[in-house]
Amino acid sequence: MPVFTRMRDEGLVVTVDGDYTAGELSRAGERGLRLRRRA
Amino acid sequence: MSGGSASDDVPNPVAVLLDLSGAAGLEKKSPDDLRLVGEFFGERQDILTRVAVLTPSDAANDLLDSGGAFAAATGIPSRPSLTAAKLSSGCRRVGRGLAVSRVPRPCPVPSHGAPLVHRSYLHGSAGPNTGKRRPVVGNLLAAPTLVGLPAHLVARDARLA
Repeated sequence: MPVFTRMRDEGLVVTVDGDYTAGELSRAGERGLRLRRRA
Repeated sequence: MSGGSASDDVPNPVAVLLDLSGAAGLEKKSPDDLRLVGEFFGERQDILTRVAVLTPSDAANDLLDSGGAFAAATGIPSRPSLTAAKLSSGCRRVGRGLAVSRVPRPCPVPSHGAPLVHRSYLHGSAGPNTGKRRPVVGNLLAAPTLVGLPAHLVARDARLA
């Protein structure tokens, strides 16, 4: 899946590399937000 | 779209950078696709302090225009589009809402590295003045909740590689 998330400078960065679907982006974003909560 | 209120998952508001500078086929995305992505952020406005969208090209940036499916789906009030001249002025501030830049012609693209973003991009504070475009981005992001910028206008900072 070409969508990655990471925290940087206390912000959530959602990076898309290549083709993607709206579902992929949303799922990755949701994962990132959940990880941020746990951080 | 994933369901559920994000406010239950993330109690503290967070800034989000959606980096589409490496995305392929953005120009070919259907309005429905763009709307779905916009809705993802729109449904989470209560936990997002800012959403900045980094676009790979002028054409892609147009898709994020205030009248487009993505921007409309976020539910965030639109702001007048910014021109390259206003971006270059370094003094443009916009209120809470949507700001999307339109660049009438290609700007010089740095020949090295992938797009890197200074922390001011996420938090709106003015970063170190390491280039002409740094203050521009910092000022632009001081207030808006959702911002679209073409990647080649975003300052690059090797220290954040």
